[in-house]
Amino acid sequence: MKSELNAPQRSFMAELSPVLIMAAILVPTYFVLPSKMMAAEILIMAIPTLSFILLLGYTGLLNFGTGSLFAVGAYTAGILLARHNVHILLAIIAGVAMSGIISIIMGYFCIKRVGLIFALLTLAFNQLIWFIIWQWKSFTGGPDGIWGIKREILELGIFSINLKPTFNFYIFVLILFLLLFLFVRRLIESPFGKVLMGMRESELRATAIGYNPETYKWIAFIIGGLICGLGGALFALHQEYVGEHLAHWSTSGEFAIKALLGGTFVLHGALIGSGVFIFLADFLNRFPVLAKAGAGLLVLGAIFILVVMFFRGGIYGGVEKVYNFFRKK
Amino acid sequence: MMLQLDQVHAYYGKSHILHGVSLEVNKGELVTLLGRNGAGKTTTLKSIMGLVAVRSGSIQYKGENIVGKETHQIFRRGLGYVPQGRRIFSSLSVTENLRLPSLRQDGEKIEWVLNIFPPLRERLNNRGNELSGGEQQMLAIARVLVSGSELILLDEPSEGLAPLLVGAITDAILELKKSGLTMLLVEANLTMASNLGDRHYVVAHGLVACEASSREILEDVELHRKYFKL
Repeated sequence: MKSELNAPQRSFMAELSPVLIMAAILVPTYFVLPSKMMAAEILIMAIPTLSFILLLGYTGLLNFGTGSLFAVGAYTAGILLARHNVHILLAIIAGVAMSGIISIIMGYFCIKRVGLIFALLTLAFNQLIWFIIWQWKSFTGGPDGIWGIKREILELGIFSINLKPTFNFYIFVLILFLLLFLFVRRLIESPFGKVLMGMRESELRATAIGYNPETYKWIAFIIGGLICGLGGALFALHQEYVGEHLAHWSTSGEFAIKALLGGTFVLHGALIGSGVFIFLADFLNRFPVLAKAGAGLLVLGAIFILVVMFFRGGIYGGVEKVYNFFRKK
Repeated sequence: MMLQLDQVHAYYGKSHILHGVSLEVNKGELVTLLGRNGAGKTTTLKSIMGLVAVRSGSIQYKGENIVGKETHQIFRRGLGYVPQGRRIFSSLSVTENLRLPSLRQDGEKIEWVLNIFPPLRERLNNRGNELSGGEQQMLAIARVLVSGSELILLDEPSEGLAPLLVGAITDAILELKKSGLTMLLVEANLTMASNLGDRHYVVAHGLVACEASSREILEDVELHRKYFKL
């Protein structure tokens, strides 16, 4: 009985198995996707979406600043790689750290408010960062962005890997994504994660049992910012270019759509949402008629509305609902 | 003395709700707050927990004035609060609900509360929203108990429960009382209150109108007419 009441303990293999299953699915996915660049892009875009899900689905915070934190990571890594030729890992770490620093400041002001005001404050910060990037031409390149980012050989002591081939880069991104997924999964199952979930239900109840919601929300916000920074840094490597559009509010909106599409109550929702969104956008653009009229977005929008209307838990929730329905029969 | 409220005035926005509430709770006592709906009983508990702004007066807990302190700070000082309406975390399991108030504890405290509320033992892996009303109420009380609170504020634990479950909750509270726990109970069920309480305060129009004995709250016709009848 006592062990049942203590924190759940899993064996090493049980901990790893969902990640290994994901790897077993994701490695061959690279070969079936119509574009080789798309596979890495899906994973990279799933990273800030994961941050969005951690904050909305598990903490109850609607963060519209995801795009700007993603952009901060991308610009930091991009500038270091293009202008200072630093080690790729160092550039990624710097991107993550800078997004973390910005999210400490952003979070400090935003988490003092709740609900719609919180969402609007994050949106305001998002646009403030976009404006700085747009105006500070000498440092960020303004509307021209940062060119000359090179995705080359990653030296790790005696071991090195050339990241230029898309498959190598995809595997590199996949490893980082799976490690991140493992970390976030552990986080939400930890006592800290349970407090976040409790606060999502009711801050008042969490306060009444001794938790300071502001502190917990702030920490969650910073973790979300660090995750966005990782996504941004990898995006800079992936595109070998960084543009101001990454910090625009529409990028934050895109991450929100991906999360809602995939499902905000499960971590897998990030990967599903990112995958479906990017795949469909690419697929619809292959029809010249749709692409010309911009109707691809219209179709995507219609799909989004249908998913949100009929499946509260996104595609993941919908599949689960259908599965449960047939299982009961 | 464990808790002492002295001339507490509290407001909801501009509405003046408590007009100088004064009361005392001694260690090991079970004191009840009785009165009609809207008399200020729940607001008194919320004021103690820092959930409603107190503009004047003092609330002394173990000799320290806790007015102006944050709710989570008050809880950490040993004051537990079970709000009205069985406010549990419905998406978390019973075990997770019980572990939440004190994350570093081992299972011993939880074992203790499961002995007080045996139905919860069978439902450890069920989510809060899968429990019956009575089980949710037990969980709400148990969650505060595992935190090791020394004084518990209970807001209408019998509200909306079937008579059989009211009996189970009453038994559990009596057991807690025997264990020496101090409690301040808001209760509309006068029979339950008279069975449980050592002393009773009658609240009306935002202040303590009088103190009554268990016999008086059941039998005093004048008291009933003045403070309890709608």
